[in-house]
Amino acid sequence: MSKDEKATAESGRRDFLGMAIVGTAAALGVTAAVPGISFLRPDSRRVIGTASAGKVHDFQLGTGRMVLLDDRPVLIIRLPEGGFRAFLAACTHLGCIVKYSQERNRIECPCHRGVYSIEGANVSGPPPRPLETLKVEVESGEIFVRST
Amino acid sequence: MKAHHISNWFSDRLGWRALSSDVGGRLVSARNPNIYIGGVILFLFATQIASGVLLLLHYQSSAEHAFESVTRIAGEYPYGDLVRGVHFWSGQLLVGTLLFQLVLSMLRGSFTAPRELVWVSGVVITTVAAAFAFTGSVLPWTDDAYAQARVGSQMAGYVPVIGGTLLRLLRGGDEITSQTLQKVFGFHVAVLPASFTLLLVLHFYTIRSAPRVTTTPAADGEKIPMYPDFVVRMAAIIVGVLVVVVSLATFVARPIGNAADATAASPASARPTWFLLPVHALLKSAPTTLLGVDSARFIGGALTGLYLLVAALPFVDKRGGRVTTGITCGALVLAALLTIHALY
Amino acid sequence: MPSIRAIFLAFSATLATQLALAGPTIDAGHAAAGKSAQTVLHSAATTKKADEAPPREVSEIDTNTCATCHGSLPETKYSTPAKQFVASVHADDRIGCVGCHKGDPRDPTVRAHDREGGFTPRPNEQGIVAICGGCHSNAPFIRRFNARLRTDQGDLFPLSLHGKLATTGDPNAPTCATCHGYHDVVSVSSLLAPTNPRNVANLCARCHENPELMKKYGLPINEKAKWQRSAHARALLGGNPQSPSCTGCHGPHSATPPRATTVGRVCGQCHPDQLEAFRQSPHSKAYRRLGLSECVPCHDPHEARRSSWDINSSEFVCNRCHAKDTVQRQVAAELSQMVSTARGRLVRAKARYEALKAQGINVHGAQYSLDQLDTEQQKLSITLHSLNPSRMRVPMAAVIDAADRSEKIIAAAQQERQLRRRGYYVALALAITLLGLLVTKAVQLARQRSRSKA
Repeated sequence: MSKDEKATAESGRRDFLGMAIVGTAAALGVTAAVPGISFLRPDSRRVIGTASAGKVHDFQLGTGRMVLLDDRPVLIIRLPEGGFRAFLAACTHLGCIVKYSQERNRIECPCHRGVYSIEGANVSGPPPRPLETLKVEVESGEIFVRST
Repeated sequence: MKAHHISNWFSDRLGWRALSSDVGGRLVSARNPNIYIGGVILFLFATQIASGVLLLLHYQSSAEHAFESVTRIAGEYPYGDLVRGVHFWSGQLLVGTLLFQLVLSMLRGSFTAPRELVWVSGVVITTVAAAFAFTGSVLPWTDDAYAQARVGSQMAGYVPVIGGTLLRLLRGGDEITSQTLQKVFGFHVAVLPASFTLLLVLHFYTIRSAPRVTTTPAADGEKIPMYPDFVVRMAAIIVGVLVVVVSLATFVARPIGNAADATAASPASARPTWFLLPVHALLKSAPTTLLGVDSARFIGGALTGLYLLVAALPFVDKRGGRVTTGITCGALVLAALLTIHALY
Repeated sequence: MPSIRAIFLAFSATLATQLALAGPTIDAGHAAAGKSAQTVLHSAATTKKADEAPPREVSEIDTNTCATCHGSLPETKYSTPAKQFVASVHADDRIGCVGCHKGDPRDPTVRAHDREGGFTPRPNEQGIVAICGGCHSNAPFIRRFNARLRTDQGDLFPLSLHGKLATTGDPNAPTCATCHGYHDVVSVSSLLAPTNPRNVANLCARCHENPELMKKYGLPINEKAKWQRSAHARALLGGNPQSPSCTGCHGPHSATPPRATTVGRVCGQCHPDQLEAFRQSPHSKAYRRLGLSECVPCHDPHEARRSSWDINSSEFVCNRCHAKDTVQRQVAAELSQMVSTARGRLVRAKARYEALKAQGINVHGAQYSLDQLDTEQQKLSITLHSLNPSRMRVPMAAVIDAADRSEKIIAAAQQERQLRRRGYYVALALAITLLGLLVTKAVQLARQRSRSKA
């Protein structure tokens, strides 16, 4: 080969080598990033499962009580006529903790004046969705709450 | 838009092309081991920071929750054991490489004038790395970690003059409590990394400022440009080191141990990290008193003296000749023997 | 402003006066160490309080009076009780020697031993019961020392066989002191107490393992040996203080063996679910008809533990009564099959978990599901007592379900590990490739340089 051709061929090889290096390094970088990113994102646990919220006699008729189940605030209401309702107490607007109003028999959010009915439906104010309902089961005097 | 258009856009605004051609064109000696070792150290430090930040985002630094959080990191979070392993092994390799660099400099006599400050800053860097290793081993708050915290802070108390202050500083009081763990954590993730970084900058600055030492003929010889020659070589070495670290982290199982119990007797197997084993051997075998003082206090004082001697080596041995070489070799052999003694 | 000399003199005078006043007290202390007993008693008597009518709480100095003299006597039969008493719980509460032995503590001479003063050197069995009971059945009195102490021993003890023997004056009959000690009584919670739950079996065995003694009453001597092989002993000595030894079933003060008809009730105090299930089984009526106790035919009351449900073993529990080709034996076979399936699943799940742990994998959530599996397994064991295969189906399904869940978690962890191991090899291959490329590049650059230099 002539000197020029040799030089061109060589520079072509050099470029290929350079690109190969960069490409492999990038691939290696990705395999390094995968553990790092997965590590920082543990699986979000959607389910409360079943958890005990206390004894029936801890809840008076016509009152609401807040309990912490699985690190989540849960509002449990014992209706004046008996029976229980349970909701995730996070307002669907921006996440403030709601409270049960005994006088008006409804659930209110103090932050931006959202109002929910006793069944959790968003009645007025900014909340876009109803409250997330949880199933309530009463077994031998103890209240069990489960996500539906 | 072509790739070099984008890079031109940035270069025009950040001026990196001028910088890179300036730095990249600089010549370094091909055979000097120091720059390769220095590169490895920098890489390991960067790995420590990366893996450390990942761990930091899940670790809880209170005595009640520390062990539990470490167990969760290793068992629950994805790749947690890998991150933990990488942090551990690259840390061990970092301390080892620094010690190797120190010994190499002692043997080659490259600490003599006008490189005294290079040497001193290097010694301090190695000390900070040892402090990293020590504080890091305390953080999981296992029974071994707790024992290390107790012994280590007690030994710190035996440093002459400043011992008492040092002990209370480390422990956050007179006794080892949750406060101690918080202090140790603060040192490990804030104080020490900042110090290490500053010292590295200082170290590089002193290297650049001081003219070459002529007693090391290997420093002369073949020169290669920084980019691409040196960068390529360094990258190859770094990939090698990375493979070693990740393989160790993947294949060597490191059980976490048991949670620390302040009311339980310290475990019989409690041992400090490997580079403190010679000291451990001395503490185990020394008689109760040496020259009229408690042996532990004596050893603490002697070690402090030895440390100051090593730090002030350029001022003690002005020529860096065979005497230092001989003493260094002797010290290494002694340290090796003591380490073996500590293990059996 | 008074001079320094004056201040110094005043200070010294005050100090000297204080020393003079404190003199006799210090002197008496020194005296107690080495001077004659007479002098000690005499000086102690001058500062003594008047003895009060019961409750017999006497000042500390009185205790020292008897014990000081008796403790220094050469004969061990006098000195040992005095020395033992110092470490006892009664001495801690300042109940002195007179508390039980009466006598006149004010008298420094041997006249203190005057029997007419009520002094009782060695009370007999009924005497001991009366003395101990005098305080320990007196609730208002005992409350001042420890409100949690029971005060029904006085009522219960005479009802027991031990108590009845004591009333008849049988010298072998145990009294309070036989079990609790005479002078060295310590709290039941102390590990030194013979009545501590961990020591009770050895205590009862002192008499109940003695062949000559038990022959007189026609009692067996192998209960302690049997109990030591039981699950109760294993649990108690393994750290569960609720597990019974002798007193757990027989009662500490009302020691009477449960009757054949009432054994079940005793077991049922801690195992109510098993008892209820049993009472719904066909065995319940059958045992009553045959005059058999409720739990005993399958579980020895002293060597209490799980019976063998392994149909292939010679110890298979149903073999004890039922012949081979009977309907009952067929039911037994069906139950045995269920038990071994359930146990097999438990063993398998645990083995897989341990194998994974040995590899250094911390399987989050697996421990919890294994605990749940254990619980379901226990519920199955309880329902087994009903001897009704159709009733077993639901607990059986729960066990299988829990085992499935555990194994799923473990399998998922193993899969994850394999996936990650594969990912590692991919990364390793990439790294080695990169290394190769870099080395090639470095060589190329070196060659270029040497060529350009040439």
